[in-house]
Amino acid sequence: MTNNSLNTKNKKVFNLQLRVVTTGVLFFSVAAWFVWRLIGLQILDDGQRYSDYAKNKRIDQIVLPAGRGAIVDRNNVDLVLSVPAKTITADPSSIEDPLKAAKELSLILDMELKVLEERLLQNHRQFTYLQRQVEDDVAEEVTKLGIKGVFVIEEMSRVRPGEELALNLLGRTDIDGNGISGIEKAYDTFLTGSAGLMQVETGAGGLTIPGGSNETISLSENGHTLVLTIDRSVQFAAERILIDGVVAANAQGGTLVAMRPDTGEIVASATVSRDADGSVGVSSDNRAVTWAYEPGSIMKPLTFAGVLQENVGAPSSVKEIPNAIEIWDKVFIDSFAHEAEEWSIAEILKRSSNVGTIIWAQELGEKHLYESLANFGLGQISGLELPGETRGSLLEQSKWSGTSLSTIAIGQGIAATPLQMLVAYSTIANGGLKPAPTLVLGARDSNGAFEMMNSKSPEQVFSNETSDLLIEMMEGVVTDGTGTRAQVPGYQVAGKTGTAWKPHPEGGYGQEINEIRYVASFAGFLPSDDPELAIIVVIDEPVGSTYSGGKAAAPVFAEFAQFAVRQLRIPSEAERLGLEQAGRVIATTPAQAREIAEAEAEAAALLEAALEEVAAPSSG
Amino acid sequence: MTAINWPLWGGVDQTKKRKKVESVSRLKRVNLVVALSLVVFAVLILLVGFQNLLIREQYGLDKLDERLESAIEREQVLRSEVARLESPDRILSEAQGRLGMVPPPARIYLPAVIPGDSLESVPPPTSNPFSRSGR
Repeated sequence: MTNNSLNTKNKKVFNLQLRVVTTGVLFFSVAAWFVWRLIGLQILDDGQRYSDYAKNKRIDQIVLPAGRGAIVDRNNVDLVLSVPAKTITADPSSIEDPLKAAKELSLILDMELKVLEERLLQNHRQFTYLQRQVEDDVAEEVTKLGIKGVFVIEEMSRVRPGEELALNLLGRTDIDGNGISGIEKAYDTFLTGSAGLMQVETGAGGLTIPGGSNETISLSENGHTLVLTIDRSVQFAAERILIDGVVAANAQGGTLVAMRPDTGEIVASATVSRDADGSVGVSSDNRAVTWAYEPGSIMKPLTFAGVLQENVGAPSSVKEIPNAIEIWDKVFIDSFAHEAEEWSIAEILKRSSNVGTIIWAQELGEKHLYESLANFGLGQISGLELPGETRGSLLEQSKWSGTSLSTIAIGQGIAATPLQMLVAYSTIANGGLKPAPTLVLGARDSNGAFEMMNSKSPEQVFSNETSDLLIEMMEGVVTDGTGTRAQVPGYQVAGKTGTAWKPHPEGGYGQEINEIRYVASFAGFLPSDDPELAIIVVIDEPVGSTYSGGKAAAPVFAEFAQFAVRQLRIPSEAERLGLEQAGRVIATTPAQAREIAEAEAEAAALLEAALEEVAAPSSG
Repeated sequence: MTAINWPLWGGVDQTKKRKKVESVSRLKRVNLVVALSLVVFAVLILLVGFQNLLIREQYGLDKLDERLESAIEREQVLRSEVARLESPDRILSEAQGRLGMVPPPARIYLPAVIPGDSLESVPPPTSNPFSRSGR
């Protein structure tokens, strides 16, 4: 009995000891395991991984988006800008019933059910676009559906508030905002900003942890705002008037470009074309630079520029001009029948005589004619830097055939873009100084600082005297020559008409009269005594009685010029007389007002600097 | 021989004294601990309050950032809308469509300045031609 109780007691003691030891070992083991894990997590290789993982969970890197710069006209009117838009995306791997979701979405989105089903059934993918840059109400309806795995995200979309206005110049971007044509492409690097990066420590729900890491790694920089030389209202008028002109001439298309001859600033550049169903509308093709055509008689002032510059003849120099002239195997005739008559150079230009021009070109010689035309910039890129620009075709003099001199002198057998011809006319208007054409006044950075971009200085091509003589002769063309329809009330216009034969794609101009296709042009500038605006109008394939430059293009020139001089505040002759009186001012455009304000600020700064310089020695 | 402290009950007094002293010092220690605990507690409360304030302010800042971003986006949308409404193409279609206007057969552009005009403003008529009494 006693032994039994003793054994029981020993057993109990033993059990207690065992338990204590076991528990101790257990606790120790757990503690040791914790220590080992801690060492593993904190010191050994795993530590860095977990540390990075924790950091990644906590530290949020936010991309600071950079907006694409806007494009504005010379008066700071928005032509293109970026606005936020909603995009519908999906994670196909997490959509429970893709077919049902596709059916519901097809009622809202502008997409076919089949396409939606295909995209949503790609359950191996975690991201797909459903429809990009949709209207806000569409995005709202999609959100209301509450489909798991379908999301609405924000993107920036490029919009043109004027829709088709200046489409040929502005160009387009792809859906990701990269420039693919026009100015959007040519100035893509200026317009595209650089995205920034910010590192923020966030907690649950994405809220920033107060006092946590909040570091801007790189600042985002929005793209520059491009300030163009064009004027929205003038551009709009150019497009409307040109459409009317093309319709009236029953033509296939047309191009109108207007430029400030002293600076080369293009204030309007319109291209219109007739589409397959016969309606005429604004074209996205910038034919002012992409289309080289045989300019015809508007080349004649350029030929005579060489004649006058080389002192081969003067405006009053007279020669007997027959109705036709045979050169090698070819006979050149005038567009109107006449007896052999003695005409001065001025009369030849006024009547647009092919034979007279050829006779004087022969006097000038191939070398000087080639040099004269090359100096005007024909056969060369204009420097406008727009995509797709052609240099035209001016054969090297060494490659000229026996009839090249004659054909080139009258604007056939040579190809030039409307812009090249306008630059040539601007050179005449600008006293022989060839301006560098430009479409961009400058760029404004995200802080609003404006920087001019047109730094090219004009190049002297021929003398001021030659220019004056040419202008006088070209005034005669508009006063009582072939270009009377280009007259603008209140302004003296100088210009030249052109009615060129258009080559067929298979070669030649056509044998029969009904096979001949024309390109009608008028190029000129005003006011001719102090030119402020040079304009070229080209009508492609006019049909009927209005096929000539004087009938198809000159009226378009006149109507457009009447609008442009008002809009650009170019005073008429009478107004200039009025402005000479004390106290008279002419209203300014916002761009002119800005220029005046900038000039005043610059003058004030210079004055202040000068005063400081004067005051400095006395204070010292 | 062992020395005996006399009177014998003196040891009892000393023990009592020692106990009293010990209880006083324990009381002091307790008080100190309590005071320290209270201070720590107050500091913790303050810290919690401060943290709460920080979180609230940070939340406010986050919200302000969101509002700023959305205002910038709104500004862009409104800017685009203004440009669209001012677009000559829209004005023309509104004029010809909704308002039923027709283009004039010929356009007459008025000169801004007419030579020979008086620089003085035109004087008002001597008597009001619209006045009833003038009839």
